Amino acid sequence: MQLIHSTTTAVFAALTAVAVVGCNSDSDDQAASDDSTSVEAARADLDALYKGDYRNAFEQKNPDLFLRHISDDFTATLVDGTIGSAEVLRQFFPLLIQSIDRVIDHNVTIEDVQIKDDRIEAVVTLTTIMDRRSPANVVYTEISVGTFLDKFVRDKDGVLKEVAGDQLRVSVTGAPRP
Amino acid sequence: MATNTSRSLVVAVLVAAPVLLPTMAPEASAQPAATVEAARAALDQLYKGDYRRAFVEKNPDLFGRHIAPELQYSSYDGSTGTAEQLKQSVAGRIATIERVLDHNVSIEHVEIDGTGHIVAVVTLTTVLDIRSQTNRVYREISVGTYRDTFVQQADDTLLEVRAQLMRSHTTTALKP
Repeated sequence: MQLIHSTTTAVFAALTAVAVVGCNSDSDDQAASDDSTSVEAARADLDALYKGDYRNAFEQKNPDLFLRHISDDFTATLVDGTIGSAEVLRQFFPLLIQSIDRVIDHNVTIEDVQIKDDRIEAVVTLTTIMDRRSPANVVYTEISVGTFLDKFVRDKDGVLKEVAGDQLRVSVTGAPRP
Repeated sequence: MATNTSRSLVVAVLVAAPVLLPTMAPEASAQPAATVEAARAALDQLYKGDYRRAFVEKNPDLFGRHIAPELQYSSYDGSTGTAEQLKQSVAGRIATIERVLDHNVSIEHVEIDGTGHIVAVVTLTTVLDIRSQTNRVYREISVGTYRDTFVQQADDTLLEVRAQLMRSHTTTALKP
């Protein structure tokens, strides 16, 4: 619900920005202000997405909440240069969710947001603390901090769809459950 | 790949089986280090000697020659492995190394148990540039704490008989 509200706000802000920029193209201050409004609206939408569906996918063990935001032409690039597709993610992500015994924390810090043409580009740091059950049926704690460059477009309904996820840095600690 | 792994496992078991029997006697009569401090010094020399040089010189045999055929590996997630698997894993990893920026050890604790085994809790810190299969070089910083168990042979060489990964922390990032 919060996402829909935020999306509407962002679309409204974008439409408003275009109209205002058109009428005030000689006003740099006004244009800057409108850009700022759009970016802030996008930031709010992203915050709602990561703390909404993306988090709920883990906490409710429902991969579809995440995967429904993955565009068919999505690509993921890992630090080592490995590239994955939407199809690979759709196969891998449910397995990751299955291995979760408990979600202790799943949070996001939105480091930067930019709007480039029809794309929203965000540098985000995801922090997760989870108890995971291994194939050997041992439960251990995993703390993960990963920074990503994620790129989104809005579909015709204004829903955010992730089209690229570039892993910039990831730090993972694995240890026996305290 | 799975077939290769299975074949390696079979080979490892076949190789380990005949070796295990003759090594039972030497293990029982393992020569303990005279003192814990002597053991600590020997371990320090091993980790900062052959174990480090295996990475720096890209020569996995320097590591492998200290791995007892009967070694058992285990991890905090419950996974286990054999000596052969460990040696293959280390050799594969070494092959990917582009540059070793640091390879070091902190020996947290050493004790000699009732059977003469040297049991050490060690934290290995490595900073490596790794070349991936996609030919990209990235930075990997790894801090892992292990409980490693050794026997000391008659010629004072240390042989690792057990490696338990208790905690690992790995950061991967684009090369700065």
